[in-house]
Amino acid sequence: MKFKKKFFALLFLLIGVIFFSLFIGPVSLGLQDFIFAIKNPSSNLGVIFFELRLDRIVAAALVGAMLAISGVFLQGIFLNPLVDPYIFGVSSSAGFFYLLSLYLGLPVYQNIIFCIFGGSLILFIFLILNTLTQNSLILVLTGVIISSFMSALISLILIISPSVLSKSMLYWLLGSFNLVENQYFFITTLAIGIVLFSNNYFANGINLIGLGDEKSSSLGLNIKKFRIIILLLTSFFVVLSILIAGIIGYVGLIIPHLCRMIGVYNARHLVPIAALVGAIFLIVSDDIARSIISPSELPIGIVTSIVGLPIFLLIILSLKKNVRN
Amino acid sequence: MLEIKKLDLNYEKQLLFSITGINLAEGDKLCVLGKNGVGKSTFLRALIFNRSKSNKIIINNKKSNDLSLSLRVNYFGLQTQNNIDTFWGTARDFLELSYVKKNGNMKVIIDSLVNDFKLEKFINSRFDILSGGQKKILSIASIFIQNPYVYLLDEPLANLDFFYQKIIFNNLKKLKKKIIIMTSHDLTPVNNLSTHLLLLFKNSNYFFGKTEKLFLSENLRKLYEVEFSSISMNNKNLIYADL
Repeated sequence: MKFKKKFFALLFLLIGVIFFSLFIGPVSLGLQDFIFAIKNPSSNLGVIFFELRLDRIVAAALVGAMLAISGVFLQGIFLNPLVDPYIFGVSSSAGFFYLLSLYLGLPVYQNIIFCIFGGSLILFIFLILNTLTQNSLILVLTGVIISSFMSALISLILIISPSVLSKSMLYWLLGSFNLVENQYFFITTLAIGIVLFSNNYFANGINLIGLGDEKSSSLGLNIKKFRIIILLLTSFFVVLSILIAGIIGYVGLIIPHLCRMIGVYNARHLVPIAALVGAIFLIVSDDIARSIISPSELPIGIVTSIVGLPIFLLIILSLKKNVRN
Repeated sequence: MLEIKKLDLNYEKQLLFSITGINLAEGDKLCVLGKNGVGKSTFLRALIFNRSKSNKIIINNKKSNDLSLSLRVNYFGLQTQNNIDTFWGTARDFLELSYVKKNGNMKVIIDSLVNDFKLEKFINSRFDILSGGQKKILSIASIFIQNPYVYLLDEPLANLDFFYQKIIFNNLKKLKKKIIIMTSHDLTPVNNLSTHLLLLFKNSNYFFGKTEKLFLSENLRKLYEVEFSSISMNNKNLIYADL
């Protein structure tokens, strides 16, 4: 019952935040403009509200939800609360290959293929590694190594690119919902929907993994297979969110903790709650990103890092307090 | 009926024991004794996880090798010694995870178990902040929810106070249609519960038999290299270590 209350409270908050965010942007618009836009969707105001701003808000919500769910999943299967979707190098590898294709001046669809290839490459490495070892620490450390290797390659690309290109690359790397494309919305919504719909399966697996390898196997969980499914899914989420908005850090790391702070621990509740909190968090971060130095705007990665760090510190402090109620 | 026709126990690729000829019927309670590191826990794990073709374990006329991981759930339930500290949910959430057969009403089953095991005080607490003993009781209770044919219990009494030891005993004694295999360093379950003993010696020898035949101070002396004394009380032979 408590879970339902939290869920609906957050759902209303999300709707409120979406509505509020429609009024944030370089052109200041009021309620009567909004009513006018509803009546005339094809007017300039209609385009601003329902194409430019709503697209951006929806994109932020979808990416926030995907990253938060990925964070819950990865922290769950690696039994490590400090894991996030970006620590594995999936994002930096996808990012590197995307930048490489920009550097080579390839057409857009090839950029996308490069990005997917980069993400899948790391995934493939993990799948092989997963069959060799069950040790989650080795997997995490390998991820850290790959991630820093790919970051080095990204820096290399930035340095050798002409300065105009490298500036736009840097902007992309830090994430932005500025030029969001709604072609990914359908597949993203579908993917999140499927995950939430089959939440029982995922949450049960993640809860079982928390019991340790032996206990979870004795209760019928095929750990290797489950890890592969989760890795596939989170890589898919990460590549999609990179294609939508570039690399946005911290969300996958702090959102699961924020949810635990409000008393949601069981993975069965954590997945839907994290999706909502992640969406709200990223919409609000994007509001900050586009209003703080308006009319120009900050990359959202900078905002999530600046906002995320103090929240993360708070979480660490509260964890310490929580250890014995 | 559980028949262990052949079971090789390996640890780190080294053969510890080759066990043959253990037959247990419903209601039998086997207690595995031996020194630390001799392979007691390995024995329990091998029973549930064995995949090797050379082993032959028959459970209710089915070869256990042929059973998939998800089917084994119906036959074996394992309580490990590992202290679970990575589960982020309440004690009730923990118990719900063992409800894998999905027959009967989960809430009713868990509620009656809470009553049987006296879990009222901490059933709604977060699992990760419970004490080692409380986690132990929950781990044992979770096997009762799983309700397998064979209960594999690794040191079920370690860390438990006498109140909960008694509760565990009462609940285990109720299991007339199940087979229990437990390891122990404590002679209490041998005195009060076990019908059969498996003594694992350092040199890959083992004794298997009925408790009344094997439970002798000289066997324990050979097993642990410690002197044991026995006294008769109320027609029962009690054995204790001279420490």
